[in-house]
Amino acid sequence: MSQVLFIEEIIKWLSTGHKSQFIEEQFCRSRSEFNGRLFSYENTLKVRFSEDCLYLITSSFGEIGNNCFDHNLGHWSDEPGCLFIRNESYCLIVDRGQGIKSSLSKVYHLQPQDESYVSVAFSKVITGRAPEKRGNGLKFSKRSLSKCNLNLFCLSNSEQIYFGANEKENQNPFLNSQLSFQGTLTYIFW
Amino acid sequence: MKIEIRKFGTYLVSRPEGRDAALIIRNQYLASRSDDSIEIDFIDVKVMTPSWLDEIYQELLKTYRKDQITFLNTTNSSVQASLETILEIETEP
Repeated sequence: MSQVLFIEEIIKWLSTGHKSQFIEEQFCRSRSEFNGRLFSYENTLKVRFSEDCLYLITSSFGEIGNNCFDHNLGHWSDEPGCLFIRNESYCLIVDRGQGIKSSLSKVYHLQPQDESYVSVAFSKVITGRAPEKRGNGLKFSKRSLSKCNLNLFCLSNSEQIYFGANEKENQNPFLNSQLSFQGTLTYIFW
Repeated sequence: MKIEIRKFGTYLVSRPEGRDAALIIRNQYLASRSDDSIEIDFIDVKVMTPSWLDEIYQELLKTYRKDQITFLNTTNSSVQASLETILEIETEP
């Protein structure tokens, strides 16, 4: 499938909830389904990455994908689940949940030095379950993916963040898509 | 006492699964504890996330002090990184 067509289908799904056959096939309705597909993704990833990075990348994708289910219970736009596209040069995880800003703003107010809720999610330990110390998954993912030279773009509630190689940023098909939707899209590429 | 994490699986990713493991640890390992220290052995673990590990670590902290908990066989990259993450957060104000 061409990348243009694939992006159009995703945009349509994000804005209307309508799933094409392609989206339907890549859609995980449950955490178990996501984790099952994540573990089989290793067969694709191990061709490209060292063992150390393979495990770091798999756990990072696991954190990001499981966040869809951890943070959206009771807040799905319609059908619970996430889109999980597994490719040999990129991975895409998208949900139509409440989005990072909506989730984090309940427990944290942006400080003058904060760029956005998305940047806070990837850099600070914020918890909605004090005194327990949680909210470290995305920070872990950012650190692990950077270690293995992967690039990450995250778009959520109209906020976005990119970290990775500057020269790779143009390879992100969502860079100028001006997508606005309720939920979170994470595109990791290498 | 030593707990082999591989008995819970070798791909340990989600927080709910970690919570289930923590309940098992509490009820079946810690309930009749007599030791004043515990070893957590990560041998054969392939993929671990901080979310999964955090659930069992928080459970252990209800029974043991930090200096009574020892981690063994932590060479796997995801185990190492997950441990660093949860221990780092423990030390944050």
